Amino acid sequence: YETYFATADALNQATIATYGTLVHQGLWARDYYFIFDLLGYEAKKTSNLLGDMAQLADYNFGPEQTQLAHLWQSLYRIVFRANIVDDRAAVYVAPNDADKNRVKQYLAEAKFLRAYAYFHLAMLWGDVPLYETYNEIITNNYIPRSPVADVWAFVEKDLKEAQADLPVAYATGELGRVTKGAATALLGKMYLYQKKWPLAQTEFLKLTAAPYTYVLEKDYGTNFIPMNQNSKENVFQIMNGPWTDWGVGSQYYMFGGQETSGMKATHSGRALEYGFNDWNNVYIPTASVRAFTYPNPVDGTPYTDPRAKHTFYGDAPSGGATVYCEQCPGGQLAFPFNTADPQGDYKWKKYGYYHQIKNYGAPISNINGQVIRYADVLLMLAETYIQQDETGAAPRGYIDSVRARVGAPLYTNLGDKTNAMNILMRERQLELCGEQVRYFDLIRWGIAKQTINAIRAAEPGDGRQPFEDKHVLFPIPNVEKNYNPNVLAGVKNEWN
Amino acid sequence: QATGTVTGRVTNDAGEPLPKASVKVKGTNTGTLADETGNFRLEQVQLQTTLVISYVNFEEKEIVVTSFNQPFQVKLAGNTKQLTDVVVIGYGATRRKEVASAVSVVSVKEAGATTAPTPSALLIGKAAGVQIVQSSGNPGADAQIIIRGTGSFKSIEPLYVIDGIQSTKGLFNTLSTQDIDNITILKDASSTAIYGSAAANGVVIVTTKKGRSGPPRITLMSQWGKSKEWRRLNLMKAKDYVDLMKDFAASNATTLPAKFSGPGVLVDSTDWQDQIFQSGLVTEHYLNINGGGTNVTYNFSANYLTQQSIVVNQTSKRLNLRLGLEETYGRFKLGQSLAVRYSDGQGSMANLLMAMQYAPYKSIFDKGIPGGYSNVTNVLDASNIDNPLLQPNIKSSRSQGILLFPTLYGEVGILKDLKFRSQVLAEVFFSRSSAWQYAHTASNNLTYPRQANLSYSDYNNYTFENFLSYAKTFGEHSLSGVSGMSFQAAGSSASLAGIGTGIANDNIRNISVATSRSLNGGGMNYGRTSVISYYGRANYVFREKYIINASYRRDGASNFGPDYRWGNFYGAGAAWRFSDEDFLKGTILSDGKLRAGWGRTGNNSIGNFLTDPVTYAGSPSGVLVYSFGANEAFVPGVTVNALATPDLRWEETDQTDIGLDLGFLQNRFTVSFDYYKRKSNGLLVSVNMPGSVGVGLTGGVNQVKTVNAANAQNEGFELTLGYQQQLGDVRVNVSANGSINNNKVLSLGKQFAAPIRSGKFNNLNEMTYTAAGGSIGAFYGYRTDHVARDAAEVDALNKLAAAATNNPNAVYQVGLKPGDFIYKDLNGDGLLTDQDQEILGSPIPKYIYGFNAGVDYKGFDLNVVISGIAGVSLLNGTRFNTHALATGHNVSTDMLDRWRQPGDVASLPRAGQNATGTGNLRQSDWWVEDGSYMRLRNLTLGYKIPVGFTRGVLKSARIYVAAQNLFTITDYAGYDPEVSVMPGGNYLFSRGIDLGALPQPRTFLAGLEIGF
Repeated sequence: YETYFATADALNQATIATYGTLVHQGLWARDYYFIFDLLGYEAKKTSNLLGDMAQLADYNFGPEQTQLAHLWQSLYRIVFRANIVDDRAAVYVAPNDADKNRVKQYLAEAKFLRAYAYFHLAMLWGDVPLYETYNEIITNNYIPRSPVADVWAFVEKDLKEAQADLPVAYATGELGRVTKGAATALLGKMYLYQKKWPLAQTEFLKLTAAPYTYVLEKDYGTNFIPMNQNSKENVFQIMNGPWTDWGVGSQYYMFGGQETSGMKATHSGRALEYGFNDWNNVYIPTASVRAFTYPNPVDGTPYTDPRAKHTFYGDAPSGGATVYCEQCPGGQLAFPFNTADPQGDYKWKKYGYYHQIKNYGAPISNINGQVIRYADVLLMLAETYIQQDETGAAPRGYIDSVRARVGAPLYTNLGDKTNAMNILMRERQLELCGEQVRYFDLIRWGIAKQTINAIRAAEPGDGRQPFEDKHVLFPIPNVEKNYNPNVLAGVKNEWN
Repeated sequence: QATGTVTGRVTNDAGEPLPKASVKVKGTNTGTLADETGNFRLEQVQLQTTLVISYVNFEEKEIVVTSFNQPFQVKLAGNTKQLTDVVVIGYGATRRKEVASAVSVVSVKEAGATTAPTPSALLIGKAAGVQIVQSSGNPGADAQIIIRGTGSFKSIEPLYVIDGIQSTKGLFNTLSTQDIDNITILKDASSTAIYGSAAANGVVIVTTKKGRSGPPRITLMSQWGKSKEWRRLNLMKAKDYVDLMKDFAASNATTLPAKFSGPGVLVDSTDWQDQIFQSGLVTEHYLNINGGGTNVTYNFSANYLTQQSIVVNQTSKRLNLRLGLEETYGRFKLGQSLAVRYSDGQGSMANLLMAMQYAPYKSIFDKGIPGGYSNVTNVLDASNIDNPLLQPNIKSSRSQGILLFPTLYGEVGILKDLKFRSQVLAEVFFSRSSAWQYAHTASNNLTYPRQANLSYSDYNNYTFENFLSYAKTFGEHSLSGVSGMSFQAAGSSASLAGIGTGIANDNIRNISVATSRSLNGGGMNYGRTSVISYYGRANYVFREKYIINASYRRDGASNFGPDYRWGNFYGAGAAWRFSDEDFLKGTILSDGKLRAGWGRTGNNSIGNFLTDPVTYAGSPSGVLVYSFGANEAFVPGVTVNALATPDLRWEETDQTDIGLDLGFLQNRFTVSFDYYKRKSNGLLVSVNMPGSVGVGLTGGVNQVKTVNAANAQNEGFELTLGYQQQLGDVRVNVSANGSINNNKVLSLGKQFAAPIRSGKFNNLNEMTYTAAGGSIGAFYGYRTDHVARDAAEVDALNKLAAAATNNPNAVYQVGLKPGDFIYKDLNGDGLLTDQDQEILGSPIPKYIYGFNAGVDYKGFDLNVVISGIAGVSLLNGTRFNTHALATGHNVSTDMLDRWRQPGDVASLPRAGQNATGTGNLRQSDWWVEDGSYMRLRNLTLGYKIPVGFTRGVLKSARIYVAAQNLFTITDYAGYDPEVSVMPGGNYLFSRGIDLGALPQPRTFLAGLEIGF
């Protein structure tokens, strides 16, 4: 340990290992999108979705829930690995300035990732054990939970330090590393989540000016295609690399083979698992589909948003795509919409590539997961104004810029704060549908219970109102409380 | 009185000479040895003197000298274990009557041994307190020997000693059963302490057959047999299957695929059990040649075994060669032996779970699908089980290994009573595996390309031992001892695995034609932990009646930190042969011995490198990557993935043993009784760390840290009864043994005694639970009450819950619907919570028993071995597949009695149960079954053909027929109650979980033995 992590190259490796956890279980190789799409009700289970995943779909889970346990473990794995970088960078003696700067950057990246992990822990579980250093982990394996405010404070500190030391951009070969912009966006998002509107606004505004060059992609759909790593809209993405060959990696590494039997692999299972012609695990709920049709801001007539076509497959009235296989050798095929399906037969298209192929045959998608993209930043920025009762040109301009890109009619007036928030909420729902943002939004807006219960009660084939008050926070997983008496002591009602 | 010279010849039953047989005047040390041809001559013998003639492994015989005129013809009868003269113990041997410890000796002759496929199988049912768990019915599968319960949290592996040299399970299983003469099992700590740290789980000592001087003796054996499954499950036919699927769809508010409205799915196309089970051919051939002159003896044997699996498509072949030489020159003795095992496993085996579950309306083949085998999909069949015949036909693999096992020893008599012995043993292994996979499409249309794999691995190590042994008799005192050192070198191991893809066609099916080849595994490491030891033992016997011994060992092992490397182990035992006391002479008691012993042993079966934080770059190294760059190329990372424990130390096991051996009527009846208590302290345990520590890997397993934490206890009784008698032409030899063991965890340590939970499968919660007060790896969970009949019943429960908790919204059991199991509220608080779980049973059997009988009548011989266990539970994980339905698949006909509509009183819940830790298939007694069984292991009937007509060409000939596992009495409902561990699990925390392991086959054999 001491002897190995003593060079800039080794510290780079330790940093990459920290990034590596982003495709661990619970995170972005497969579980992350299932967890938050199912809980945020942007995905509804089919009868093929079983076991622990079906628990999430039904809100019928407890502290044993597998994916939430994995999420907890993997987030703390980020913390542990980032702490190694932190611990070794502190004693690192640089032979030259170049190496010194490299290590400074690695440490900043590690801090960003550690903040990303604690951001989730604080948001999803509230009070959690807070390991700030490697040495703490080595000396005490059973620390109690810290108040959530302390966790947020640590996130803030990490992000500010990361922001200071990160570069604005990287060479092509290093694309995908955390940038100064990413740290700024996450810091802004953190303030937004804590309702610190002016602070959030300051951070988001930075991203609209030099040295940053973020712009919206001309074509909305290019954010969700295999080459989306090159989008100018990216602020922070998960680098789901292409699967190349069984000799290099396993197509199924995401089921627990990361770093071991899965060999070298970073791709995503989303396309296959959501795909209607493959594992067909989920529907997009009818409620989400219906949201794409709303009163036209110009004349109040029903209007179907063009983003529907990029988001799901369905029938013509829904606005969704009705054909697939446009680029297949045999020509395009009609989406087999089953009108008899008691659940409403709408299926996911975003993050898929059925335009190229009839079935995927294996989980090998390299479409990167979007963590924060510029459209999200613009909408968050708009929100910081609206939340402070400013509903004028500034927030409207940001919202309209996102709408203009897809050719949707623009708003001329956002109305009062309530009206403006409703517009903003819908805009976030449509723009970021299936990007694992809605669950967090509903929770932070405090409307998760009412919204989810209302739409599920009305949903064909569902009709339940599963969201209970306790669901605002996740249960402390058994993998923690069964083995940490100091955490166990504070857990109420076997939940949190 | 007259004195004279007595002459005679000592032979066995067949008239073959017994060279060096002992002839003694009874009650004295006067005597002589027979020569190489069995002839003896003893001078100055008084008339009416009684002579005692004895020979190793033969019954003693007494003759009274009544005249000096005629040479005596003394025929000794082949012995059974009770009277075996010499017992092999650690670093030496002792006379059975002077053994002061709990020892079981299994002689291979006893037990229809010729048909046992592995050395462990020889021991089934033979020794009290010894359980043999066969890992599965796969050809070439190994078996685990468990002695006196489970006293460690890391390993239950006993120590194996082969021909006096500390060895391994791998080598033990390498031996051909035909080459083994006898196996001695040391059970108590007074005898095992000399093996110190290696001995906490007992010691298995194997003695192989040696050459004897004389002209070459040639033995040939050849046998053939057929193996078959002994039980099948009743699975649903297509019509019932379709009904079930309709129930499933209704329960899940979904539509079935279109084909379920047509007639095609109602046709029973294939009985999948018929398709995968086959009658497997088993053959074995054995040749032994031994002989020698006065100074040199030799022994050569060859054994070739082939076994076909009882399911398609796997065959295992094994060739054992063994050559042993021994030279005696005056006071020097030298020995060399080389054992070689070549093994060759071919094919890929069908999976039982798939055969249980694949849709009965599907045909085997489908030309439209790449690979040619039919498949099902979520979209078209609402099922995604793979075709049971796909794997065995689309994949083939071959694994060949060669193991060399040379030993050398030299012995010199320094003084008359002092010997020095030096021995070295090496183990050298090489293996090669290759595999081929055709391009194919599996269920759910998952596609796989052609693929070829090739891997090599090897390991080697050696053990070097030197010791002095001393034995001297002074009048009524006899003293013996041994002292020496042993070094187990760490050796090395290495492997390299390659995978080839981008293969254009099926013409050449190996990696050589792959256009893309890469490494997918490999590395180099130590072969094992290196250990250096010093040891000594002293025995003192007075008047052959009072026996005491003591031993000591000091071990140093490389896998502990520098401060904790050395451990001290010791033991002592005493025995009193009261049957030799005057007041008992002349009674029916012919032998009586009381034994007591105590000892401390240890265990270091933990991995290397646990005491330091080590870097981790993936396993195999280099696969820890993330993607960067416009092309999302892999870049490697390095981190730390385990917490170190610098202060790990030796665990200690203290065992007390009290035993009583009795023999009546010239040992016609024998009784042996033992009580033991084995208490282990500071057991090395892998303690689960909280998730927040953040070390460890994905895969859902908790990160662990190895610490000295647990204390556990095994307490038990063992009883062995024997009876043997010659009644005219009939010779009967019967023995029975039984044992009771209680396993209890005393504590899991001071730090944080979290129960150890393990045995997780199919999204369900952990099924086993190890905590203070319970047994290791006990099953744990809820108790089922019954299947809820209707909504009214559920509402009534909720009302009671509301009343009990004063909360109008209280729900008795979260998610309970009509047709679900209602679980019992064990703590009576009105609600079903985590607290309503309890221990449901233990996979460690309380009772182990065996029964052996041998009957000889003229040329016929009959051998029967029965063994069984009782007081044991199994977790039948295959119920997940056969008695529940989460997604579409076939099930047992038991599911006809499932809940279908309100009002049904059913034994099984409704179709469409989701499998989760809190759902209706949660951990409960529904999974747990009684695992007791009694099995007729072996039944052999042989006939010795008179060979007189061959005019001496043949010395002997025997034909026989045998049946293995002829019948099994059990209540267990799965394929076989002999369940070892869950795949990927271990014998401690996931034992007794059946996830569809291949059952033990029922085999019928016929064979021929010829001696030249």
